[in-house]
Amino acid sequence: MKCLSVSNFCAALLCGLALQASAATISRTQFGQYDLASGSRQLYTLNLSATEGGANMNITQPDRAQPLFTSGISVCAFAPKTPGTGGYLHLQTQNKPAADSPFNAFMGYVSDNNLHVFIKPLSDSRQIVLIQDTLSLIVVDRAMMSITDAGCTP
Amino acid sequence: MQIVINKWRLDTSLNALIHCETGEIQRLGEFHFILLETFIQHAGEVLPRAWLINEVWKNRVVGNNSLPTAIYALRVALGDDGRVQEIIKTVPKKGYVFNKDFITERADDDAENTGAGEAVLFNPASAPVSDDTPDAVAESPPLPDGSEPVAPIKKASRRTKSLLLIFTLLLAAGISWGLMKGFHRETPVVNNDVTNPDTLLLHEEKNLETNRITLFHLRRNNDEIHASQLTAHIPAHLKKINALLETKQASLTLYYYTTMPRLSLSLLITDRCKQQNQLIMGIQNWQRSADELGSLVYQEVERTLNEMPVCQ
Repeated sequence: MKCLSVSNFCAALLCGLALQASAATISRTQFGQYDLASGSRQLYTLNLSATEGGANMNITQPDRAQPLFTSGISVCAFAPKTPGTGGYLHLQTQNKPAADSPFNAFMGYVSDNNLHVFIKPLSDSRQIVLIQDTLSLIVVDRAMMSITDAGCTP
Repeated sequence: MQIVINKWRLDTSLNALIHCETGEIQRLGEFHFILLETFIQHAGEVLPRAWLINEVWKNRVVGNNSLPTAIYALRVALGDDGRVQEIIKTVPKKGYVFNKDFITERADDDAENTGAGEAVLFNPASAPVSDDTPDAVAESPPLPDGSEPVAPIKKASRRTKSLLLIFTLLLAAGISWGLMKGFHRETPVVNNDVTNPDTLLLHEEKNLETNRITLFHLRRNNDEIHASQLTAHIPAHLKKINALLETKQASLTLYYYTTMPRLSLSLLITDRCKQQNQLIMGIQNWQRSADELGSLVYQEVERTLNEMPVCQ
């Protein structure tokens, strides 16, 4: 009877672990800017793909395949000797957004300033990132935004 | 004579519960109402699951989840906390017991006087929570259909063994549940380092009425001023979103961060095929109207759900 109980327990545990290992992946990420005062809303699709030392990002509008702009991302620690989760998000723009792009002003800012970020690890190889300068939250794979102490200067 | 449970009056003509103070009406399904009546008739007795199914659904073929679903619906309707289980208690391996201390019988005249506000029928401080289940079992008279009542547990050693077994089972169930939860939703490591000014603090807002939504409030260290809870700000809309997720068999993990002018949200929606879409929302002037805010979040969750690929 005891063996049966232990066996059942182990089976449940292994079953749980197997399920954990097959956790869901994010197949689409969209971000929207809304204003309750004016009733305006703008929606974009954000495509992220992991690269060595960071990620590539491109932004499209939901009804258009052509990206509004493409950029590389790296995250650098601003206090590498102190254990912490704060850092800077550095964007390396590969092509300039179109003149009428809503990201013109944004890219102008981030080309001169790295974005201050806070990162909170989640349990399953993911983390949530708060971009302090834009007050945006995003859940990403850890591989895409990990803090390193090299690669950019805050 | 009217029957009142935790401020809810039974209306047999409507198959409904009517709140004694607000007059709010909650209509119950046919079998949910029969289940409630059965509980009331046998309040204080431990009712085995099989007996309840037979009593409520008679000879109909019912699924394994019918009874737990009905119990959950009754707990929600009666304002019972599924974890504390003050009104309907789960007795592991035995069945369910309805706490008779919550039942009040009132004259019809009193019952009609619903708006007076003086009919305080339940005082949480005075209503005892029956945490000595074996005694309740011992007092249980035979069931009306002649089936055997649950046998009382008499010996302390046997009780200890049973409790140990229950504890072990609960531990195993807890671990499995935790792992399963991780499968369906993001389960953050709540490892808040309050001494480091550069960490984010994660606070889970629990709400039993929105079981398909896991909601986390992110705050900067010592940023207690931003402790306002979204669950309290848009409770009705969260319930509506929960109902929508229920129909789609989906779940939602929501993270949010607030400042005065802006609400930042990350919504991770997982469908029954474990496909996941993320919607990041930045909402300016979010404090302008709770109703507009709740409607906006609902619309965007609905849109995202509708745009997810159909599960095969």
